[in-house]
Amino acid sequence: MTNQELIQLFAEALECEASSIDPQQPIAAYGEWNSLAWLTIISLLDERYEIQLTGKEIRGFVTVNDVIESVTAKASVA
Amino acid sequence: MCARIAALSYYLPERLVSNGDLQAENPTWDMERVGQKTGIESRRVAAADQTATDLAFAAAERLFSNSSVRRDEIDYLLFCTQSPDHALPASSCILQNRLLLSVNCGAIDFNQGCSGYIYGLQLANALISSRSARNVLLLTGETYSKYIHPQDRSVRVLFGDAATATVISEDRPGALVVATEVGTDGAGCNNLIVPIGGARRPYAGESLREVCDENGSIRTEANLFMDGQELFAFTLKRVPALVNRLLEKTGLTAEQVDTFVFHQANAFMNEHLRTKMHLPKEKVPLSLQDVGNTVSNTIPLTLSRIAPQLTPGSKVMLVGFGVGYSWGACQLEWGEVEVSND
Repeated sequence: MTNQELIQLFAEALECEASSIDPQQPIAAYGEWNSLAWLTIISLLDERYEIQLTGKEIRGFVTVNDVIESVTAKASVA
Repeated sequence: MCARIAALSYYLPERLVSNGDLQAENPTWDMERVGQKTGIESRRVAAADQTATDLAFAAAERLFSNSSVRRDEIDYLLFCTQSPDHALPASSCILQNRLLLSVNCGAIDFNQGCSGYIYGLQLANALISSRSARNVLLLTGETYSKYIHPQDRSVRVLFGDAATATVISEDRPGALVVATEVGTDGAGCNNLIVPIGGARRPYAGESLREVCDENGSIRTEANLFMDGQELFAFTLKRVPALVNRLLEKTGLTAEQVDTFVFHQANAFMNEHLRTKMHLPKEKVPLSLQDVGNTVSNTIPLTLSRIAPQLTPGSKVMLVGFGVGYSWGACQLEWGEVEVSND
């Protein structure tokens, strides 16, 4: 799983272009990154990589990079 | 001794709240998107003076009117609700009286939500197998609407009120209860909860303060709170394992099960569960478009609606999961069930 694949996955959930997602940006900067988008992200991560994110982890994420790092770390353990 | 589901009915309160109604009331909610994701277009909501026992009473009366089961045959009443009429007495005692059931009839409430119907079938099966009862009336009735803050999008769009009635019998024809499997993880108790109003945290002025969360939803601590992401994660972790445990117990394969009736949480979650378990669409009915997530009612309500398409001998698995956390599954072998639909 590459960072680019993850950004593509976020873009699918947010229904936007991957190029419009900047990993350095806070998640809060994306208006459409709401609770419904998170559900899609949880489901896509589970479906494609069998990786599960908990609500507690999600609440701790500030930037897009935080999500990428957490998911990448989980993938390396799995 | 075999326990069979002999009769089934359900009742929905009259008041219908559509996505359009919610949109008009809350202009900032994106109800079109909510409708697409959840699969819910409208839900029924109990009237201000209508409680879960009123709904359950109506479901039971419908069952007695439309089936051959007589009320004097009922010797045990199980009532599943999380919105009882009073802290005490048990709502089932109130229902025994209203339904004119025998005074020799046992009556208990049990507090479960989305897994409640499975628990009810398991208890009814145990009562019949142990010769403690011959005809059990299992009622589910829920009015989450009374706990929901009108400006809390996270739960208001999802939940609907409803009640169902099921008779489980030792000597009538019906759908055989083959096996059940349940599980619990109270570590998730805070993720779907009405925090105050019980003995642990009685009502007090400060706790009724309205708070706006990061998604713009407003609620007090006397309202229903749901952490949808945690619930979703829980479901993905527990439900496939639950289904596998029951398959192991019955010796069936997933391919041999003809129909899976899952708790109708929301279309998005149910669809994801279905694809994760590689189940074909036609084996997994959805019935929440016009009623929403009706908690302990979703499984018997869906079962009532699909009953005309089920053939005797077909293998139906019921799967409930949610508040607690609590989960359970039941394998049925379908038979002649007297179903009274809306």
